[in-house]
Amino acid sequence: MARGATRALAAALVLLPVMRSPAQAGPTQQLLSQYCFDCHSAETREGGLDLRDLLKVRPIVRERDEWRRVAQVIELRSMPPRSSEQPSEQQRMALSDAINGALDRFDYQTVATVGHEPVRRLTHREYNNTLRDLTGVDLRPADRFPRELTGPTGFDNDASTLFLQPALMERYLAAAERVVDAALPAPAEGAPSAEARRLLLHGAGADRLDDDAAAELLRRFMLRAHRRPPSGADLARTTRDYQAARGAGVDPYRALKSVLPAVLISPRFLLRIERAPAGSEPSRVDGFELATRLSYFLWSSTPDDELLRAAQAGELSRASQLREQVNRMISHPNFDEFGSAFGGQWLSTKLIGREIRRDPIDEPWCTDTLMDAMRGETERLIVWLVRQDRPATELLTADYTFINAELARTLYRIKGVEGAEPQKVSLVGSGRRGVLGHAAVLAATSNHNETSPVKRGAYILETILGSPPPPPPPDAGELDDDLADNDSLTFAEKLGRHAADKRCSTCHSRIDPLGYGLERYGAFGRLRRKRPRPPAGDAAVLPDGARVGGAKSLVEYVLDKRRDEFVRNLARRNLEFALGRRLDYRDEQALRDLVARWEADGLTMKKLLLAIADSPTFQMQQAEPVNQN
Amino acid sequence: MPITRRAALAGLGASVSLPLLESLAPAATAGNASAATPRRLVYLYFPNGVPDGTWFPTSDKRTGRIEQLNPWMKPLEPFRDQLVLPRGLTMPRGEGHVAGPPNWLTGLGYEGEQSRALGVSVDQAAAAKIGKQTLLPSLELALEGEGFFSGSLPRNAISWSATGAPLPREVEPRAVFDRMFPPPGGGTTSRSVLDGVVQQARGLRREVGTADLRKLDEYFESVRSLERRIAFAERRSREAVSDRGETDTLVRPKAGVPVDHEEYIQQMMDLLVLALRTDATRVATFMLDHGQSNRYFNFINGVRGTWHALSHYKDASGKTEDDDGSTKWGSVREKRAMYAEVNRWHHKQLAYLLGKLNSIREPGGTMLDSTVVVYGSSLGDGHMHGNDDLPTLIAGGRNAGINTGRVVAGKRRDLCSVHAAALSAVCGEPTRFGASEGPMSELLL
Repeated sequence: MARGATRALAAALVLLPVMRSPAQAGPTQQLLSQYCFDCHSAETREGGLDLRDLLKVRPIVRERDEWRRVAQVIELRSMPPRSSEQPSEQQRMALSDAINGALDRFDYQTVATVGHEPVRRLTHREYNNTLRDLTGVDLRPADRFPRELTGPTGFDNDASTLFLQPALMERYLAAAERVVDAALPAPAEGAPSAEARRLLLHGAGADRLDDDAAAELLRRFMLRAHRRPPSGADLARTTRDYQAARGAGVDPYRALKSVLPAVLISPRFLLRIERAPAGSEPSRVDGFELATRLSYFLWSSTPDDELLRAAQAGELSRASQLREQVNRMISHPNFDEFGSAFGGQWLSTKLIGREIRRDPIDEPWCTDTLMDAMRGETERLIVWLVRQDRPATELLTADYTFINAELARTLYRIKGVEGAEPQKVSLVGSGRRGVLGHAAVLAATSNHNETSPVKRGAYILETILGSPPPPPPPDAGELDDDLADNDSLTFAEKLGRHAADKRCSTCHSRIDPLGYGLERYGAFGRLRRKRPRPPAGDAAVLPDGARVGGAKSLVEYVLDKRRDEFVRNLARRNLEFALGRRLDYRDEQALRDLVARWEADGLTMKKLLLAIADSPTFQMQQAEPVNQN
Repeated sequence: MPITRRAALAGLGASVSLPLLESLAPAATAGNASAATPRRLVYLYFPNGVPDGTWFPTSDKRTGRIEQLNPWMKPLEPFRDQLVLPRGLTMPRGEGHVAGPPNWLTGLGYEGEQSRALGVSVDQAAAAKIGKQTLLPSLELALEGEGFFSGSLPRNAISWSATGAPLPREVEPRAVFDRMFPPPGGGTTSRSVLDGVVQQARGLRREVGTADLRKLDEYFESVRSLERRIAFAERRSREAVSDRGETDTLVRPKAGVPVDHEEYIQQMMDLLVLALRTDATRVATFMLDHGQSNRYFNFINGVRGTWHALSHYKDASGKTEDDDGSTKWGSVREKRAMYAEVNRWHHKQLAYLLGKLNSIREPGGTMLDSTVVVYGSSLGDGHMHGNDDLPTLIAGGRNAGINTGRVVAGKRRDLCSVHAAALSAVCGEPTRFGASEGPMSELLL
């Protein structure tokens, strides 16, 4: 680690002659000092930023997000604020080029690690699915647990947001007892379902269980619940508890029942734990750990018997056999979950029905079934694209979709779709294309009652392309006081004037035109009866002169001009979801390698998942550096 | 003293009788004369700040005694002598909508990338000292969010445990009730189940790296607290047997969340009072909304738009990032008044809680006198996103040593000094907290 850091530092210094120590400040540092330090020093810290301090962090890629923002606000002229001394255009370009260039050209290999997957508990979603697959009863107890909160990745499986506190432990214990009771009811209250019998009793009936069989069932159950063979001590303890119950006169069935809940609150069940590698070098995770990574990535659930068998047999360390397993898992019904687990969270469509909904009394058309269908449309497209191994770009270009009668009628004005079940419907002849035409995405990017080209544009930049626009400058909020009382203007017109203002237009000209491309669709994705008036002036013209006419030309523009950002972002978000952590500068090389490999494989959806499963980052583990920033 | 369980639980919805009841009176009044009345600590958080000039009362320059409450604070008039309002409070290590909530009770900053507050919250520090004797060391309540950010971690997390984890919040009245009075088979009857897993977790400590030990500690702590809780439940049910003579019917709330927001907030407050009254806990936090609430308060006469949009009252044009785009305001003045009106509505809810606490008699006063209630926000003026003069008040706690009925003048003092004072009051000894040098002495008798 120390050697790596020194090498990295040396590399950074070579690449950054302009960012030497303050004593021998180069031109970049002089510019920063002249225009920025007044407000961004240790004493002032405007916006929480101390640039002098930031300059001390080496290599500078450690704080690359912060530096990207700095370069961006300088380039887009939102900094320095108007009240301060302004650099020339040439100085602005020099500054942002120096910063971006240093970040782009940095040799990320010198700081690369395969990362550390911290111990984390199962998410509520994973917990529900895992209990279902272990016991055959689908009670979804976590639906009533305290809600999980999401952090910076936006995914519920982000390890940094998964905590196990007493209030949860109470629920786990109650749920474990409830699930075991439901799977193995007291004989007077009914018989186990066929599925529960298969999973928990290996087909035996409650009355035909003997002690030898029970011991074997326990071992099997612990293997499946722990996602690896139980340790000798753990197995012995459980067997002892079983025998103690038998010794007290309890019959084998009830004795078995009495020891199962403990397995379901074991740390090996509730937590995902990987053994720490010896030393600081990267090492491969073992077969069971890899099986667990795979199944929670693709299924949000526990490995099945076949995957555990392959892990036991050492097959997962061979690329061809790993590929076979991944293909099998993608075909498996459990992979349906990937649509909501990855897609719904990546695209924010999971918010529909919860954060985003309409008052059912004022707007009775907005039913729960409609909102389910909206979420389902996006989830199904993603699952379908993977299973059919379609090109990734089809996420944006698909001229077909999966909708039911209610969604087709209520929002899309498409005739001839029958029934409550979603079906594949052609969109040829309509302007809707891909996820940007999905009602769920259009609703998630609207204000409460009205569309917002700004929000939709920002969503395309941030969620689809991974290049978020900078936050508005601190004085942005007070720019239009003169517009405030002008009731003759609509909101959209006010926005247009705001964006036309020179001080605002540098940013808005990059955001709004993208959003205007979707104005044909109302706040809940409803096709407007009338084509909207194009915005006045240049509001719909991008800085490069392109004018986005409608949804179709928007998608063409994005894939023509910004395809690389789309590809990289899709790979990055998938990898973050697969690992359950935020990627940082130490993962940059791995991300670049993944994208290169995927490009070579043809950029289709299934190939991305295969490439991730086959990547060192996914298969390896490294001790967390103690002195981590 | 008669126990008016029905009164305490009025309005809690459909009735379900509980098989057994513990004595509803805390230890002190249940015959153990030597035990002192328990001291309690309650934090209520509201988001989005208040408009400048709508918080502080007029006060005597020399003594600080409150002369006249701010007109927007009128709902608190009955408790004027039981309030103390410190001026000049700041949160130097992060305020606002995002870092504000995690930093509000911890005071040492919030690290966004790791989703981690850099300290233990004051309620948890209190729970470590005065929460050991109760069924629940602390209780974390919140109202279910509405609109964007209701699932955002930083905006929803004010209570942080010693292991650096935000504590999950109960948002459903029934779930709160069940934590105090577990239904049969509710996971608190099976102590034996817990015995084995502790040993498994011990075995695991040898397998994981240092960085991961923290997670295992979390697990240990959870199991231990569950064991304590089960022991409590057993003892309580034994006590309850002797209490049968006066068994009454406790009302278990309906499942789900009440549609009417006022009914919802007051039901949660009823449960909070019940928790304190029955000594189920002595420490509680209650988030009246997440740190960037976009809730509509259109049910208040004359109010339009979401709370956060209203807090940016100088943008009367309606173009704040999360405006709904369709709500219009005539002027800055009108919008500001609506913003203040939403705050006044919340002050009214606080008054409801204080009234409940004040109606319960205890030796030497009322329950409010032994309870330190801190009510405040992690923003000053919502439009300025200010970090000076954070709206903060302490209510009650006279019998715990809080010097009430006053405004405390001052300039730029860390909110942690208020936390240290509250902590000192409920622990009965001077205590430091967070980044503060010590308790704000003017708050203490």
